[in-house]
Amino acid sequence: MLIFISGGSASGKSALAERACMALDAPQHIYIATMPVCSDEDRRKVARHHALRAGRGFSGTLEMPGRLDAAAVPPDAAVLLECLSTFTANRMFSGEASDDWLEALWGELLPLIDRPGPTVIVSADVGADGAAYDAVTEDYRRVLTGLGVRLCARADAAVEAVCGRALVHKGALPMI
Amino acid sequence: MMIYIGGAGHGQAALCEKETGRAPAPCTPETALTAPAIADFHLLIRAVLRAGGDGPAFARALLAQNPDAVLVCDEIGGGIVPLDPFERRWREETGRALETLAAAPGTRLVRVWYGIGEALQ
Repeated sequence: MLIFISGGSASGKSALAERACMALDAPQHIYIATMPVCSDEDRRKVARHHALRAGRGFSGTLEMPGRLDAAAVPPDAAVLLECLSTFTANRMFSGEASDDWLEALWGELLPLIDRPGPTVIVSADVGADGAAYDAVTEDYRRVLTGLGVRLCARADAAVEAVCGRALVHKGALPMI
Repeated sequence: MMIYIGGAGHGQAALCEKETGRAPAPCTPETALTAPAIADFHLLIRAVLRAGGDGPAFARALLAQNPDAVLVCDEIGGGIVPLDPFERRWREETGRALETLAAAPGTRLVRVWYGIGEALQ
């Protein structure tokens, strides 16, 4: 079971994804956080996010600011990966080299979405401004959007967040 | 006429080929008038503008001379309107060309979001 949620900046996709994840029937609900912690400010932000999620009923948070470690995720848990754009940036700009980041990152995502438990993945739409960026940024856009295309092909539900509402492109969200 | 449009990299060319059996190829303003499947329509309009043309006139020429074409385009109007006059005009003329094509009788329009196609008409 895979749910893909994307949208523009501040479109309400995180709240929508958290509600979708909590509506899934699973023995536990795990949040995978991807933001790298580099400063006291980051630590305060992470603590705030933990406190916010505590009220939503998540069983726990796994911090994965680099490579995705699907082996650390309980197989039957409902998982929310937030978010694909940060994960992709973390991996592509870590200093590590890859001939094909799209394939490399798809290979990291597959074990997560192939678990028996359901997975919700949040991404960000970055491809409609007509701007031409430097080669590194263009490659990032290509990889991030390409991962979204692959995820949507496998997703049971694919949803665009608009003002916190769900514009459903495929399937249905569990709570609506 | 048939149009597949979506944000950059959303798989509109792949969906076009899957649904129509025609692989979109990059065109010049001249070759577009006979091509069965036109790739990167937004970039084609850039070439049209550079050659002194405009979007709606080019769209009308396409409708008259190549009415059975399928074309694939990126959405380019979702960012800050640029300061550069040519960049501004490019977005404007691409939008006007697409509106002209979509308003023609019989044109099919498919919006693509992460590979998922939705027929708007």
